[in-house]
Amino acid sequence: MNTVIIADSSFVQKLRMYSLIALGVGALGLAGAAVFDMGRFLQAYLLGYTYFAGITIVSMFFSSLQFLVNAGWSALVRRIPEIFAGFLPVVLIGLIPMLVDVWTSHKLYHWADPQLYVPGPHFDEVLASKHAFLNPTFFTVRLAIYALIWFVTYRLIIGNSFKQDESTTDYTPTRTNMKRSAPFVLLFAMSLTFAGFDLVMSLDPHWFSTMFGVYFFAGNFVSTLSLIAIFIVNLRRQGHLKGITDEHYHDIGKFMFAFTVFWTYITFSQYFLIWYGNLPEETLFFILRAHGNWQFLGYALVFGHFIVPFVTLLTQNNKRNPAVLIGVGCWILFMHFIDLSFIILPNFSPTLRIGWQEITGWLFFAGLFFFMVTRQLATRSIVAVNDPYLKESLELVS
Amino acid sequence: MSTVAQGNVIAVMGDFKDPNKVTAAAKGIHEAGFTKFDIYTPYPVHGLEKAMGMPKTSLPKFALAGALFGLASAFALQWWTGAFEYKLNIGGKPLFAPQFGTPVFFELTVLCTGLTVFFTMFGYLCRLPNWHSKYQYDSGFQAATDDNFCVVLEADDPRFTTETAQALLAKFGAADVRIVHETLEHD
Repeated sequence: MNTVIIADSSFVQKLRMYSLIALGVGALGLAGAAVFDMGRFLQAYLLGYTYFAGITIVSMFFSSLQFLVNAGWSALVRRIPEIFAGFLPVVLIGLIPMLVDVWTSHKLYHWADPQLYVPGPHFDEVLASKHAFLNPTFFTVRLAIYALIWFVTYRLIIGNSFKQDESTTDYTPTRTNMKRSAPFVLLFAMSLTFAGFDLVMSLDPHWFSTMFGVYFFAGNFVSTLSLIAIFIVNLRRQGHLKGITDEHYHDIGKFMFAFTVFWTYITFSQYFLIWYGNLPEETLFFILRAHGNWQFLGYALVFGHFIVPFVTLLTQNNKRNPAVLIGVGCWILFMHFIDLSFIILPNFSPTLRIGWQEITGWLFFAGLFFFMVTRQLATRSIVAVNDPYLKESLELVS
Repeated sequence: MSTVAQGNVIAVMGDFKDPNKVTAAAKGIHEAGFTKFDIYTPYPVHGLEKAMGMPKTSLPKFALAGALFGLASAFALQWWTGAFEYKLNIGGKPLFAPQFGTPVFFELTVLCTGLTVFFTMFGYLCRLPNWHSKYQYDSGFQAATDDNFCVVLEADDPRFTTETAQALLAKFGAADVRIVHETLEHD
């Protein structure tokens, strides 16, 4: 089969235009934030960065997962997350401001302040006991390891998947990918968990929670699925992904539904155990977030991140309805922003504060993300045309 | 077993050996306007229920009712026992709070949904327990547990006459089209 490249379509042109507008507005906003308040700039930057870095890494995971389990239904869908993974260069370069902060200003990561570890008025006993893990050198080494894992995965698995497009007879790339994805899925679990600890959880270095890694994963995964759903519905509507049927909508809808429930399960488990255990080193996270007006975001998450998508995606007809899928997808992506805000921002402000800085920080990364997506769409086929499972996916009946 | 005494005509039956042909026949019979007909197959045939024009199952509605009942009973149970009838202070926690109530909300919701679905499906929608079928003395019908796809046009259908039913089955290539009588006595 011939590759399907939609470089000059109106879909890509529109996406490029909107992404450049978002990028421009976001860059202006972030620059403004940096001029007024460097700390606020870093918070907004971290929020936008985490949002899209999470989607990128999970996209690579989604693709490897399909190889690992020899999934047939997803052969038509799989190329979309692989195109999202093209954002990886920005993800790797984007780690630099966090490193700079750790080594210089400590506005974001206050545990990096060396004053906390010398006996004196600033000495912090809890952080001193965590010093072997939370110190700038080891932090840098760890980020370098994650970057290496993600880079190698992109080259070995996603790159290999693109290589399959070149040959209709030689299935070595697909076969190799089935083997390579097994260790990556393990490395992915470790790297995303620890990246969550380092980049997000260590904003509140006194806090203990064993659930945080999987909580971070669950939110990222459900939002990645939503973004994939939005893309395949739009691409089919524009006449580009002709093989996609309501059956694929149904399957991706089931996935979104399942991981909405998974997110709820994990989020509640973390909250429930901390609430019941009532130990000071754990409750400090929720004391900040369950009092004052941050609690409204918490209620918003219960209703918006759980009840709304749960009830909407419950029926079969809704999962197969493209308009509903797009609506719920956008809603989940919005709630993921609220979720990350709820995790990150209360560390810096005791009262509810989401301003233009955070929104433009998100817009900046959204613009950059979708611009990178259009760059991928310019050269990559949106269908894995020589995938041995493509026929099975075309004939899918769920 | 063989039949020794027969009653009225209850159905016309035809046999198929190919699941694709039986699906086509199901579609044709449905399009001809028959509503009371059934197909007995050795294994579940994908897409057959759509070809037969069967309505969507009403099971989800029962499941939702069971779920809401479970949720409400879990709420009532915990509130009534812990905060109303016999107030117990455990570790200074509130007498009733949704935080500790949630696992029980979840469990009872799932339990009641599961039981409702089980009993509704087998006891009501599938009409079990049902120890016999009125067709069970027909050898083609018996072979549906082995290698035969047996189409049964029931005499209750308003469009049913033995001639139309036989013609319809013959049109789709059924083998051994036969009129089936009620079995009054057998040895």
